[in-house]
Amino acid sequence: MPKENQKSQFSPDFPEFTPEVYNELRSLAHAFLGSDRHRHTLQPTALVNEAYLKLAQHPKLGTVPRENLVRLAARVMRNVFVDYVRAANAEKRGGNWQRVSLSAVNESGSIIDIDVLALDEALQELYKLSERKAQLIELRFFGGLTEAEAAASLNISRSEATIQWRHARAWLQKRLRHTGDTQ
Amino acid sequence: MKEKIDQFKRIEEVFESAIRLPPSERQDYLRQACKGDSKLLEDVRSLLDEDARCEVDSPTQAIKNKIQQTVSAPPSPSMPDRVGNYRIIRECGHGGMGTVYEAVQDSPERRVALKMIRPGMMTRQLTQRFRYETEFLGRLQHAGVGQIFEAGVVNVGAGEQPYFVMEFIDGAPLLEHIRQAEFSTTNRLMLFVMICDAIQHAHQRGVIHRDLKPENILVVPTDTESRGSSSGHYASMVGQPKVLDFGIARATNADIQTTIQTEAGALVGTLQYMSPEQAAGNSQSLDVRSDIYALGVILFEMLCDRPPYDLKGRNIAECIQIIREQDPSRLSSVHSRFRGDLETIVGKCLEKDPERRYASASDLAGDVRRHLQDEPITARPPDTWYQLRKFSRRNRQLVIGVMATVLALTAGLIATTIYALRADEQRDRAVQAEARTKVRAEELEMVSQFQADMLGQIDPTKAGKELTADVTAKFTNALVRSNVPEAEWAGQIESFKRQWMRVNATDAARELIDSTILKPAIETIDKQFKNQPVVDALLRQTLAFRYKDLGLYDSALPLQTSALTTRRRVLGNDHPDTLASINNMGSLLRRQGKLDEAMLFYREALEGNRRVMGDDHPDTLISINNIGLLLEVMGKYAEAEPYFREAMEGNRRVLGNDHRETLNSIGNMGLLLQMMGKPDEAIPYTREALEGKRRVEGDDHPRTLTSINNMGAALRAMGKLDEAMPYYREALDGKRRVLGDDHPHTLQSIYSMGGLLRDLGQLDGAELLGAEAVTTARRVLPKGHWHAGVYLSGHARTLAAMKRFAEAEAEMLEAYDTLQKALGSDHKRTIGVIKHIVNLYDAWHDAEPGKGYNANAAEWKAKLDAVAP
Repeated sequence: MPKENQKSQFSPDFPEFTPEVYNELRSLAHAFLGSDRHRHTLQPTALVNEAYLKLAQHPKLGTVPRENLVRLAARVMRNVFVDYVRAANAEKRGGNWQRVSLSAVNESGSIIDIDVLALDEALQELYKLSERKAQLIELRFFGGLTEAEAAASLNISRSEATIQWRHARAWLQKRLRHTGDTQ
Repeated sequence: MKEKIDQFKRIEEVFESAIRLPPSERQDYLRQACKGDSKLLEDVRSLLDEDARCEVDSPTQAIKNKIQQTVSAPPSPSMPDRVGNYRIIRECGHGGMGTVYEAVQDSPERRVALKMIRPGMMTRQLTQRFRYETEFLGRLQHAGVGQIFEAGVVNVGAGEQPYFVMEFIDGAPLLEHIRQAEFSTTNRLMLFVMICDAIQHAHQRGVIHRDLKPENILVVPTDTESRGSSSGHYASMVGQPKVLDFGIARATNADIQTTIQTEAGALVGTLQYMSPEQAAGNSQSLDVRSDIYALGVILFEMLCDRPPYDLKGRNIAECIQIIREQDPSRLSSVHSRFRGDLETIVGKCLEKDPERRYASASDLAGDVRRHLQDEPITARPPDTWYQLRKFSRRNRQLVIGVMATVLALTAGLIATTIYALRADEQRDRAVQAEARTKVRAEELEMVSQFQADMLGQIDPTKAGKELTADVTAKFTNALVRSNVPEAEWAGQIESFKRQWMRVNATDAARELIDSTILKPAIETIDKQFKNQPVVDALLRQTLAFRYKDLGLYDSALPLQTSALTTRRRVLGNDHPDTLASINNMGSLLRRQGKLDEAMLFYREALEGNRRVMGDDHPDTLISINNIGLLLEVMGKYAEAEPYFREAMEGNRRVLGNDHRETLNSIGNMGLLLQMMGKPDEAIPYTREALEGKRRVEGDDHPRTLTSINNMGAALRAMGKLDEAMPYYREALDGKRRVLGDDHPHTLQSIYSMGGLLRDLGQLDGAELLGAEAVTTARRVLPKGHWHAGVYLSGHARTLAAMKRFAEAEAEMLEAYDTLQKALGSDHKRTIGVIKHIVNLYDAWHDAEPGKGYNANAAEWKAKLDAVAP
């Protein structure tokens, strides 16, 4: 039985945004990504800019700080990305649910497989353990932010961000390695 | 889970401490930090191994890259080979609107720029308008305008996409060009005149640019050989500017909404050049003078290398407000050499009122030419008369603003009501109003939200300042028209200002706002919203807030009660809006000193919020904080502490350290510790709250002022009287200015300052302030409010210190009576007053022995022993 796609899932981590905003961002992200009809660059900054313009027209949201929007955009990117991989996989497998992996090449040239769902699950767990660290990963992986930008968005110092990033990254790697071992 | 989080936190702490150390010291640290806990040691070590692996060969980096690759599909595959008669050579750039390619036309064979608008941005209707508009654009032929050869709609596999074919321009963007060429001011002005000429050409043909900015102007450099050959001509000296994208904003209906660029911050870059009328969203009424405004911004930037408004780091709403309301930087403030003609010219372009700008680009170019040739320019610097008119005009804007509020309210309400009546004729209107369709509800929501926002924006401080400006201007006006000799004007104005200073403008404005806006608003709601309970409740809640902020608690109560009752009835007790109203009811009662009643509402709100919204929801955290506040007021400090701590920690976690609510709860923690007699523990919290509020809310915000006052109080409690003084002074001056002399918050500062002066032995000053607090409290606070008791006891202590024992006795006994009734006999504050009474009689007995005051002292001491053994 395939897991519910969680299309309308709205995160309580962003109380300042309504589900409508979240859905708006989602459809924007889908328009950028998704189909091959128009393969335009999906730059999170472009997504944020476009979203920001739409939101600015909204009487209640014109004053939402940009940092919060960046965090939300990264979250949306993550969800859309995970859906995207799931959908691509579902198509390939005729609708049956299978774990998919993306192959990536690391710096030394060896190929590693990323289990996208494992990554997603790991992040969900990290959210429970430390919301800030999960957000840090989200911002850097899915928001495409640099360390300095992510630090600014989370309102922490650059050096603090480095330390936290190193811990989060080590944790994530260990967690993913562990998942691989047990399967 | 709890255990897991604790475990995670332990590992995290050791890990993060370890990596801050140089590797050589880590082992020692780990052994010491994990003493005896081999599991912890192992966990941290394995993470450190992962960390070390990341440094060399990072799988996470690979994941990150892969995600980025997948998420950001490269743009190149979408590049078409051909579009109509054009062969695409390469991509030159892309933005939110689309992509620009370099292309070659088949016949005649020439290099062109082809701009494809992103698909999906155009509806059929828009496509037609696009064809129609671009027809016009093709007729613009001028050396300074990027020529449009052709425009159309094409489908290259991604759906219908509009495209433009333009002259290919091999030039640099305007600002880059003048920076690289290191142009003198004269050269910059020449270039600017040529830009004006190009704009004038378009304006004469009825085309407004609408999106003028330096990035839309390219400059083709002059090749060195032709330089000087025709020296009279500007282009040969400074290059040929080419203005791009004329009218495209309109042709694609992309005015404000879609001029998106890919880089962050580019949007704000666009806002910078937007005229106030454009920023206001009046895109229908734009005319050439909007372009004149943008030219003014461009000229400012060409001369100063920075734009006239600092919009960095601001959100869109703030930017729009700045553009519409603030005066731009003066050119001479950037460099004094611009004082005079150039400042006047730029100033005339940047006028908020289009009527006051140059009427045409050629008029503007004419003045710049005259300046270059040292002839007198036509524009005049604003004279004193104009300044005066501007004064009263600003004020008129306030008046109009107030009118508009009332009008918008009434008009909006009527529209909504008609709408509702039509739709709900046959049914029970009350509940149906919002349940009908989602769209309906949203529309209602928007209308009422708009009105709520309008009401929420009423600001007595600002109105007070405007009132001062208005009255002063009117006085000056009357003076000018009267027969008073000119020599006496200055003196008269000075004396008038002194008189006016005695009136607290903020208080005057408060009364004005109450009588001219809020009361009529209530009447309107009464009349118009009988059948719209949800909207009715929202508006009443908003008004209740306004009254509460204005310190008019008695006026707020019926509104608050009505809003809550309606919401309970229509939305149910568990609806977030109802919960908010329950909480607000508690706050209002607390402010009125009705503490037990307030607690009932606070408890209900907290219970509901925990259940409906969850423990970590900001509303829940506010509820927790409020109960803490109330317990603190009740003197139950030990009970209050866990609430404050939970709220503070929750807010830090959920909202971040710089959020308003977090700062409030940090400040509350500080205040509580101080009340518990631990001022040294209080200071770090109070300081953090104060610094945060100064940064986030600004120095003049009422919440900041409260923190300033608390900082002073903590220092005073530690006996650091001289250090406390500047804080007390800043808080008191600020509150008088911002909130008015009569505001309950101001009274607290008046009382505090009085106490500090007493501590310092400055009894005359202390007595004056103490008396002010007492008399104002009698006038503005609800009868029997415990604050009045506190102020009375403060003043009485000063009187006792001045040996005015009889007066002190009367006030001290009244203080006791008030506090005992409001807070109870065993409340810390009541007990405090008993101690003061004992001291008073002791001192009186010492001063006048043999009159039996020692008996009074003994009587009260017995009372004290009874309540506080």
